[in-house]
Amino acid sequence: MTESGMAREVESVNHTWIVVGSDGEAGVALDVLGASSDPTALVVGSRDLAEHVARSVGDVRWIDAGGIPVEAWAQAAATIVAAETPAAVIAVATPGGRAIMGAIAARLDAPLLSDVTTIRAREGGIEAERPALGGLIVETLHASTPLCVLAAPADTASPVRREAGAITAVPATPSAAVTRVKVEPSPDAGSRIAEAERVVSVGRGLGSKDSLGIVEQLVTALGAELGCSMPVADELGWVSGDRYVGWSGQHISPKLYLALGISGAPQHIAGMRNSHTIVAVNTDPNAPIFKTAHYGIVADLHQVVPELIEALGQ
Amino acid sequence: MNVVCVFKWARDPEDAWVGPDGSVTWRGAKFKPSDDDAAAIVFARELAQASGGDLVGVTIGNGDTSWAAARGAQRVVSIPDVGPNPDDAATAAALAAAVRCAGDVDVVVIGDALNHAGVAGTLGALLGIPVLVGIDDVVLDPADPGRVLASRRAGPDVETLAATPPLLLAVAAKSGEKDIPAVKDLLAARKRPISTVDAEQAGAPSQDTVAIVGSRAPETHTARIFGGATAAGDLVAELRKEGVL
Repeated sequence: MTESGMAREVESVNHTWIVVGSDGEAGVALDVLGASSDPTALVVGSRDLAEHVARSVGDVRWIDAGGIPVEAWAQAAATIVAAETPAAVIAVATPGGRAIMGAIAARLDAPLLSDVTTIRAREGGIEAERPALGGLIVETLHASTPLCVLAAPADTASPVRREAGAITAVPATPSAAVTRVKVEPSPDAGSRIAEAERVVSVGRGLGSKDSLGIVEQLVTALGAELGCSMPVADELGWVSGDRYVGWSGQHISPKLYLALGISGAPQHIAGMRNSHTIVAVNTDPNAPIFKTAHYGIVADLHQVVPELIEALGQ
Repeated sequence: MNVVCVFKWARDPEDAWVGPDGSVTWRGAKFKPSDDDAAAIVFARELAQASGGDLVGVTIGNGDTSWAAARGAQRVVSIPDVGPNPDDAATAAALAAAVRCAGDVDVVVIGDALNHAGVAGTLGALLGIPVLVGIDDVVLDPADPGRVLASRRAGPDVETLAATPPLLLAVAAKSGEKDIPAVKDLLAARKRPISTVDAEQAGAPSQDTVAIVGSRAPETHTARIFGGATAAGDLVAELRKEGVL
């Protein structure tokens, strides 16, 4: 770490970068930086993606990824960003974003903080905040610069500039070691949970697959999609895997998320915490889900669900 | 194909005691394997067996080093004098030093940890090998056994990537551990060779570029609880008022 690096400040217009590999990531990264930021964006993807990011960012550098996986561009992206000696680099913790940010952190010999929600300049470095211990606390960290930051995936709208930013195509060579063989619908695909305005998810508290019938009636009454926690899809097989909401499953942000019999493990919260309104039904008043939910009923879902269906019909 | 499985390199958040003001006290707080570690070693073992290679467990910190040996690792390399670090890059640097101590490696498999999303990517970069993150299935390519096919969920689709070793795979758990070793496996594991290396000897850098300067309870967010015989009706009325129904 150089002394000159220590002295840079994150607010400097040309000293923050965001890295974007898919739709929706720019809004999350800009949210971490704050409203007054004016970063440079490195887009690894299609021209359409670059144009989308340019609606929010004035200076867009674009790697035309073609059909090549984002990971294959990690070293090329690191070379481009490191050459600009940024004070901070922000990406979203998607698979591609994580591979690229790892390469950048290694190239800059910079610290890398995960799950960060905000950063701000502080004397001698950058202060960052993030939820920790499954959301039980908010941690404040002080880091030297340059700093690399990963933000949790979310559905955050990007601010729109008066004039679209400039897009500059940058030459880059991907690694030949990684290729995409195929993309095909998941064998258990079919749900539209990612786009749904309302989602009703079930956890182990469902008790048995037989109880799905009454939950599906509620799903229909709400015009919702059915979701579930990881054990319900993978261990118990009651619901198809494409409906699993969580860290390694679906990341969704519906207007209404109704969690039935879900305790609220961090792995599940990671997939739904950006929902607009969260409702939990659980027999355990101390279940962690109630720390995330806006509304709750402490009761057995088998009792509550028929009552909800009846109330919705009135 | 020689495979390294990196395991048990972080503390379990459930070992933390959080005070009302957000202060944190760690109880015991040894590094523990996670569900992702369990998923990682299953794939690591299958890759090693299918290719006729060795499986080596690699870890840092102060936990039980026989965990990987009980799940198929022929030997384990450990750097015990490395503590937890809030900086994922520093953790990755310590792990990279440990992996280098394991000898010739073709594939590194690591659990894709929720709380340390930056470790896998940085570890791969420090080792100078490509990284595939969020993987939930791995096999040797039937058409080219020198190549690995790795799959992961991509929205409603499954994306299959091909990669030629050396490479790093970050594996995300889809469930808790299913095949927990029997007592005889645990006892046998304690007889497998364990190489303990000092951090300094391994070249694991001591990095303190990040400091935790405070912790606090999150903004109060208490769910509004509806109770009594009219709870469901009251909830629906509130949701209608809010405009989400």
